[in-house]
Order: sequence, then C-alpha cells, then structure tokens
Amino acid sequence: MFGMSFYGWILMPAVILLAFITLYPCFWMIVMSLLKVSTRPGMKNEFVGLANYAGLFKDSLFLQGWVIQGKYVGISLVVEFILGFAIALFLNNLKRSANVITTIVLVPMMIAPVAVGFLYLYLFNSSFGWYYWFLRSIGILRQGSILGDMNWAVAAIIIADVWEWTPFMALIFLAGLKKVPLDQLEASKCDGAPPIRRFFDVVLPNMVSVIVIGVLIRFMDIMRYIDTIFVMTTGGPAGATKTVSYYLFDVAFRFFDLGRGAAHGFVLLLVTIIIAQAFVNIMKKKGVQR
Amino acid sequence: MAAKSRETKAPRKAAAGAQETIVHKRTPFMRILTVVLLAVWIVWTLAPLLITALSSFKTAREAFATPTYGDWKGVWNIFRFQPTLVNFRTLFLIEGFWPYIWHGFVASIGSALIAVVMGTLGAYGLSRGKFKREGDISFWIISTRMAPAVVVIVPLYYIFRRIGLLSTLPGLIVAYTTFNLSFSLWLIKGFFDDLPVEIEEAAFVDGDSHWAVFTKVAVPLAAPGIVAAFVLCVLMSWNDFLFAAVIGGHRAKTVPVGITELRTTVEVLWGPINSATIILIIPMIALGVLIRKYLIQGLTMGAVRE
Repeated sequence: MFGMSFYGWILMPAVILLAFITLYPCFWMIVMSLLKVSTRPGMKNEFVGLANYAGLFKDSLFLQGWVIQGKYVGISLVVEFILGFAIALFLNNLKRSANVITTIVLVPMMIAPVAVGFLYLYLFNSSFGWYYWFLRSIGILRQGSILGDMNWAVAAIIIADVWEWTPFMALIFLAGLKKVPLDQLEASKCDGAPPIRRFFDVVLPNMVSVIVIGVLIRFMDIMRYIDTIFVMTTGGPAGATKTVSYYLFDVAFRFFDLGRGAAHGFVLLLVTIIIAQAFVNIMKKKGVQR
Repeated sequence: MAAKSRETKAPRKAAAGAQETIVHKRTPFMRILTVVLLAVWIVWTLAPLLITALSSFKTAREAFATPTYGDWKGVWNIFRFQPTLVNFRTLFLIEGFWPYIWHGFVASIGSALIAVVMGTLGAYGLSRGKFKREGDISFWIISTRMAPAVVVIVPLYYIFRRIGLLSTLPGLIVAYTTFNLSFSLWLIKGFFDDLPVEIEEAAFVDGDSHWAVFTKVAVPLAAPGIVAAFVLCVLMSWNDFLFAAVIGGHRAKTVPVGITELRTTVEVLWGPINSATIILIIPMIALGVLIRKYLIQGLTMGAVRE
C-alpha cells in the first residue's frame, strides 16, 4: 500500500506539468477554433460557431495544400523507404568498417532542419550553387532556376528531406535485419530457395513491425516540420510548395487569424491521427496473414 | 552446411556469417557493389556539409566561383581559396550572434533539465507502480508526440500572450518542454523496464527506503539512458525553429531564427549564413555521435532497439 503511494507521488509532478502544457492547450485549440480571436490581447473574442471550419473548406489554398502535402509526404516516404532499405542491406554486409560507416551515414539526422534548408538553398542557387551547376553540366536542367520552377521546387524540398531522413529509415531497418531469426534463414537456405525468395519469405515478414514503426514516425515528422520549406521556398513559387502544414503557419502567424489557425490545426491533427491509425491497422492485418 | 558446422563451434561467428546470407555476400560482385554504392551514398551525405563548411572560410568571390557548365576540372574550385575568418567576424561583430547562441543554450539546457528530472521521477513511478488507468496514461504520453508542432503552437501562442510569457526565455523553455517531457519520460521508462527488479528487491530487503532504492540503485543503473534522453532533448530544442520564431519572438531569438534573418528582402548574406550554419550543426553532430548507441532507441521512443 505504501509502495503504491510512493510511485504515485513521483509520477505526479510529470503528469501535472504535462496536463498543463498539452491538455490545456488542446482544450484551448478547440475553444479558439469556434472564435474569431482578436488580434490584440485584451480585446474581446467573438463567438462564430463553426464559421472557421466552413471557411477552411471554401479556401482553395487549404484544399490545394492537401494535394501538395500528399505529393511531398508520399514521394518522400517511398524514396526514403527504398533507399533506406537498400542502405540497410549493404550496411549489414559490412564487418569491421560497419561502425564508422554507419556513424557517417547518420550525420544528417542530427542537423537542424533550418540548416538543411540553407545547405540546399545554397547548393541549388542558380548563379553559384554547386548542385545547380552539376545538374546543368550533365544536361538534366536546360535553363531557369530550381527553386523558381513549380515542379523542381517540389523536387528540391523532397531531396532535402530524403537527404536528412533516409539515414533514419536505414538505421531502423538495419536494427530489424539484425533480428531476423537465423534458424529461419538457415532453413530457407537448406531448402535451396534463391536469395530473392529468401528475402520475401523470411526477411520481410520478420521486419513488419520495424517497417510500421519507421514509416509511422517518418510520416508524423514530415507532417510536423515546415522548417526546410520555410527556408528554401517560403511556400513558393506561386504556392507550389505550400503544404497544409505550411499554410497553417501563414494563416496563424502572417495573417494572424488565430481562430482559423486553430480550426486548421485541429483538422490537420485529426487527419494525421486517422491516417496513422489506418496505416497501423492495415499493416497489422497483413502481418497476421503472413 | 559449412555455416552449420561453424555454428556449433563458435556461435557468435556463425551469427555474423548467417547475417551475410541475407544478401549473398560471398560473390565478389556483391562486395564491389556494396563498396561502390556505400561510397556514393557517403559522398552524397557529406558533400553539402563539406561545401558549406569550406565556403564559411571563403570570401564572397571564392564562394561563388562555380565554373562554366560542363567544365568538370572546375570542381577543384571548391578547394581553391585563402582561408579567412571574415564571415565569422561579420556574424559576431556586425550581426551580433552571441546572444542567439546564449539563448539557444539556456533554453535547450533548461528545458532538457526540467524534462529529464521530472521524466526520470515519472518514468520510475510509471515503470514500477501499478495504476488503475495505466494504459490511458501511457497512450496520452505517447500521443503528445504525434501532434504536429505547427498545431500545438497556435493555442500555446494564445495562452502565452495572455500570461505574458511571449518573447521570454522562460516561455521558450516551457514551450520546449511540451515535446521534451513526454519524450524523455517514455524513453527513460523503457530503460527502467529493462532493469532486473531483483537488484532493487535485494536493496529493500537490506532495509532501504523507496527513495534510497530509487536514487542509489535504479538511477545509477539507468544512467546511460538518462544521459541519452538529456542529450536528445538538448538536440531537439537547439535545432528547433518554429517555437523559437513564434514563442521566442525578438527577445529570445535562437540560432535557427537568427540565421533566417540573415536572408533579407534586400540581400542574402551567404558568408555569415554559411558560418552560422556550421556553428549551428557542429555541436549537435558531436552530441549525436556521443550517444550513437542509443540514437535509434531514442528517436523511436524505445520502439526499436539496436
């Protein structure tokens, strides 16, 4: 009995603080989404019901933002998944040099997204950027600028994300590869299954949980961060990189419509949670079938 | 068959050998492919860092010296320069960057300390105690990590504006704690879960109080995990841009915010930007390498372990 109260007591401070800094803002977000929040402190807020939500769905930039976000998140995830898996397989091949190489590979993960934005802003600059020079030299790019072109700009922010976060996928998959049961591999080898079959029949099923976790965390983080977009394109050119998350920043802190921003944020939060949950459920079903 | 006989003799070596069977290693073709592709990936990883790091010691003329298109020998221009500290001088003397580094330092260390102290207490309580709604508490703690930062920041801005925490260092510390506390609590809980309970039970038998067992037995044993949690909290806060820009305002600017202000509508100060970028990233790379062993466990909140 006494033991129980001790554990309760030491858990208490964290729970109280966490409630104050997460539940309380969450409560306010819902309240704010029903208000026209005054731009100055001290002035009265006006209750507007669901007008903020109605306004969202009439806003073409908001709707367009989902399409752009879908492209950005989808392509980034697929590329990072494939490259990450390939790198994990190759890193798994190394013996003595594995530790050093892995450490080099994971360096980009530690870098502030803002810094990543500036690294690539510099490299993609049309008058002195080295990557721009490289793309022009091998003839992929004929003219114009990268960040000023509607398609290239989306590619550029995806490239920056792939550069920073593929190592994350690679490291998670590497941890998964190390846990594939050896007896199953041996059995498959004795059956004379070719390496490709062995990969799909033994390695992949054993990695389902690791893949779910990796993709899920990456998905939530791409939804979280807007820093690289802020630095590289500020949503441009002509709104080509204005994702829903980025547009929320515009609405709340450039147009200072906090009520609309709260409604926007609430919808974004719900969609993130629903997609994440759906993904977990689908993967769980597939995992069971195997 | 060969692998099987090895397994009986030296199980550890066999384990390493069997892993290679995932991608048939033995063929020279696979070996060459491995080396070539990893080399390409390392160049791709390090090139942006190298170019920016070297540029931070260049004058503008040298930093902008890309050759004509197709002139491949011109690549050596990257390495051709007279090292100068002029960019760093501009950064500190003209742009006044010291306070930004100081703000970032205080805010990230302050928030990491609060998060780790409260997180360690809470993690031990949650790990050892039995609570009625343990599942709900756990779900709530994990779910706070899912909320996009842009979403949290809107109500936080409004609340802070009302209670006067906007544009202050304490405000920024509280803002960082919104993501640091749940993160460190959950991560450290994983480390406490891994400890064998027998050691603590033995201490109880010796007559130690709960508090003594916690501070003298459990915390020292979980120390590497607690340090890793602290370092990751510092890393995430130091790297943050959104909270610093919105909550920190103009009186608690951190390095990421300071850098974005070197790009004005009139001109882009590339020299100082490059040197500020280097200052921003070097300490974090060092910290990351330091806790490399716990990095994956940390970034997945304990879900994946190496």
